[in-house]
Amino acid sequence: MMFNVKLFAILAEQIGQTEVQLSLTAPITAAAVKAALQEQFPQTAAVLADCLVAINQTFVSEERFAPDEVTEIALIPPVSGG
Amino acid sequence: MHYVAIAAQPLDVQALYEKLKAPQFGGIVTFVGTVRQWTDDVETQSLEYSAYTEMAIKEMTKLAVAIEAKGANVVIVHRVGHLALTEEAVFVGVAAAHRGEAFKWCEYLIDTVKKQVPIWKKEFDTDKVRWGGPQ
Repeated sequence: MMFNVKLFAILAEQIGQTEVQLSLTAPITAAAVKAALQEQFPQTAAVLADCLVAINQTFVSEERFAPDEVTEIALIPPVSGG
Repeated sequence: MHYVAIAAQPLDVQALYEKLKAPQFGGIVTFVGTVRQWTDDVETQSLEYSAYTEMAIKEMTKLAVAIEAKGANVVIVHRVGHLALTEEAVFVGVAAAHRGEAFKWCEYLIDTVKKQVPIWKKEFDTDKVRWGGPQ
């Protein structure tokens, strides 16, 4: 299944897009999102290692989602607000 | 009642401070982060902040609600866009019954905002452009 994945900051800059489409199979997990991006964009590996994944605007780590539970996926590079 | 926002326009510090005031609170602590010129040997000319706006507001709201449940008013506002030196990048304010809680909660909030709210800083330094955060 294809999912839109939001990209931000250094990651968006590396790829030159703020959103990509990735093919993911159930269950959807943080690790699967990162692996799929790295496969399509190997140049992101170093940055991706430090990224977190947000599903439905919440940080996730080990959680597993069915495809119909996922409305929004985002990759979150190390934050630097403040 | 908490107020959180991602702001594209300059922060009105006085107006944000006014939102904190309430008769039951006797101590207000505010933190304002501003754009600094020097970080060790690196000279910054300007900054650009970007955010995952919807999620940032959710995360800031969670933080604000948790502190307000202890008995406080909370304001958290972060700028996005291009900022010049000395401009206000972030405002965190806590009004509590007494100063001890107000200081403690304000420090906790700004520390936590910096760690877990999806906002990014791009530094335009004299030698090169840098993304903020651990490299």
